[in-house]
Amino acid sequence: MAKDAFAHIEDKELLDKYYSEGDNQWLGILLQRYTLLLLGVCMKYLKNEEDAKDSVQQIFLKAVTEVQKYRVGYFKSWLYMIAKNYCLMKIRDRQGKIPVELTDKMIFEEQEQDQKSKMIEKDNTLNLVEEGLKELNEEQKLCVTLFYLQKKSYNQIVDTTGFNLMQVKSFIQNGKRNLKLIVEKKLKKING
Amino acid sequence: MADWNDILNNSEEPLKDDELINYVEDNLSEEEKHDFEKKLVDSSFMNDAVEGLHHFNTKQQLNQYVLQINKNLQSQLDAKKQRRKKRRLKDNPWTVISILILLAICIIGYFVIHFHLKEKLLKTPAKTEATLNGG
Repeated sequence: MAKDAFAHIEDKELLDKYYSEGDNQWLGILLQRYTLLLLGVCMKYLKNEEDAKDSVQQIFLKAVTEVQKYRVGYFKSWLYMIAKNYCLMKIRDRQGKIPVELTDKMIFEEQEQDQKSKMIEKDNTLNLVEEGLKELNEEQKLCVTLFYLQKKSYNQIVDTTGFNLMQVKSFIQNGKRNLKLIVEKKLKKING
Repeated sequence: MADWNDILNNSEEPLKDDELINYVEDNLSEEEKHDFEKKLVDSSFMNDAVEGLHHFNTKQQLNQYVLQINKNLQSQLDAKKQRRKKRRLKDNPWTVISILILLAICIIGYFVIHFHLKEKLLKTPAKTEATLNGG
């Protein structure tokens, strides 16, 4: 209910309200936006419904404590980092292995990626994308074309190409990333 | 042109819970699926979440789980708020002492005024009688 009433307020605004007023209500609204996503993330790593539900509550508690210690900039990525680290620690406790922790650096990289893509958008480089697409490997070129240009869903691409779902996702994600890099390179060349 | 733009754009549109559940339950048309998947491409968070949600045996109960977790979070936040209020009072004993002193003054004041008025009322009829006899 509360979620719907505040749907128009962005994460950053809610977080600012929390920091300025110190009222947990704002933090509650913000966290509740991510309950389902967190449930999915916990289930992906822990593979147990009860563990996943308990873990989301523990992640909330951790987030409530941590958010007071320093000013969080990009809430969504920060919460994902907390959730992923919590799950990895839980797996470590189960298996006695040391997992790789997500760090702020990784968040920064994700944000940097966002900024880079915004930068690319501003320039009139759409024809470079067309050229860049030809430079991708065959699988990536095929999946990116089917997904972005022919607007096919993952399943349709699986049916068309014979790749499995994981491969399709990976070809699209990597293809998109590589395409951006190619466009960036071309832009640098043009701009000297 | 717009299609090329899609490749460069990072979707910043937030996912709605209903949309997510419908996708996991396979209730979307191919076109809706494609629109939804466009949002997934750039977000590891959403990708992990979708992958995990597929593992739930009873996807119809996802909404219930979310409601329950949110309810627990709300009660934890409320309890924290209450604790903070109590601690605030504990941290400021002079506020409590001042309030108590103020209350004590009010009570004493009430009794003083009350007794004073009672005494005045008792004296008044005697005075009237004396005035009548004298007259």
